[in-house]
Amino acid sequence: MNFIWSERLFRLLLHLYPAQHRAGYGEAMTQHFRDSCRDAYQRGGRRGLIPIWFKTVRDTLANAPVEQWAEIRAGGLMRNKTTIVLLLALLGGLFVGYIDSHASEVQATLMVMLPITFVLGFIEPKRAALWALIVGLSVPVSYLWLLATGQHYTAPPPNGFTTLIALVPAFVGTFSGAILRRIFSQVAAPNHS
Amino acid sequence: MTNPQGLLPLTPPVFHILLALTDGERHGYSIMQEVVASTNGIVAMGPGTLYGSIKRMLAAGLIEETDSRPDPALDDERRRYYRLTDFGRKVAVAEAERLESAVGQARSKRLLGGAS
Repeated sequence: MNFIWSERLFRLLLHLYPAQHRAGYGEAMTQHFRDSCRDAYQRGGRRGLIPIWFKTVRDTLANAPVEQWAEIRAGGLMRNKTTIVLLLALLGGLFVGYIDSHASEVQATLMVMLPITFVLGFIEPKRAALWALIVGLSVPVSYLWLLATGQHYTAPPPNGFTTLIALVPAFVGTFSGAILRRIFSQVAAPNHS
Repeated sequence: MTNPQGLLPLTPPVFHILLALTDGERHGYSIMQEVVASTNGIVAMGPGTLYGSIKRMLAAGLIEETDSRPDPALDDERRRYYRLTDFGRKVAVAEAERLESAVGQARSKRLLGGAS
C-alpha cells in the first residue's frame, strides 16, 4: 500500500512552513508522515488514516505559525515582502473565517474571499498556493473553532468536510491573481515586442 | 554552551526527545515511537512538533546529527539520525532533578503518596 495522495496533500500542507524550514526538514517530515500512515494502515486499514490526518493538520496549524514567526524574528520584521503578504494572508483568513461563520449565504464568503486571494496572488505570485491554503483553510478552521467552543454558526455546513470546498475558490482567486501578474510582467518587460 | 540550568524548564517534547536519545542514536520516527511508548501515548508528537523541537535542540547543542547507520541493511539511507551531546545529557539530568524536586514537594504536601 502506498500513500501517494496523502503524501501529496502533506507536501502541500508543508508550504505553510517557511521555505528555510522546508528545505531543512521537509523530506524528514514527509518520511515521518509516510511512516505514520503505514503504521496506522497496518493497525486499522483506510479508517486508520483518518486520525493521522486530524493529528497532522492540528500539528501543522500549531507549529507552522511558530516556525513562520521564528523566521520573521531571525530575518527582521517587515524586511521582506513575503512577510508582509503572509501577515495580510493571515488577516484575510481571519476576516474570511469571520464572515463565513456569521453570514447565512455562501455568496458573502465568496465575495470576500475571491478579491482577497486575488490580491494576495497578484502581489506575491510565487507563493500563490500558500496564500490559497491560508485563506481557504480559514473556513474549516473557523468552523472547527466555533464547534469546539460551542458557539453558534449562522449557517452550519452539513458536515465539517464540506468546508474544505472553500479551498477551491481560494486557489482560483490566488492563481488568477498570479496569472494576471505574470501577464502584466510579460507585457511590461523591456524586450517585449 | 553554558549553564544547563539556563535552559530549564524544558518543554515536554524536548525533555522526552532527550530521554529517547539517552539509550543511543535514533532517527526522527523512532524517537516519536519511543516517546509514545514510554509515556503511554500521553506525549504524542506530529512531524511539526518533532522537527521544530529537533531544529531548536540542534541549535542549542543538545543533540547532534550523526552520519552512522545502526543497521544500514534495514534502513532507508536518507533517514537522519540524532544523538545526545554531553551538554544535552547534562541538561536532561538537570531537568530530571528539577522534576524530582517538584515531585518531592508534591509528596511533602500530600498530593502524592509516600509522604511521612
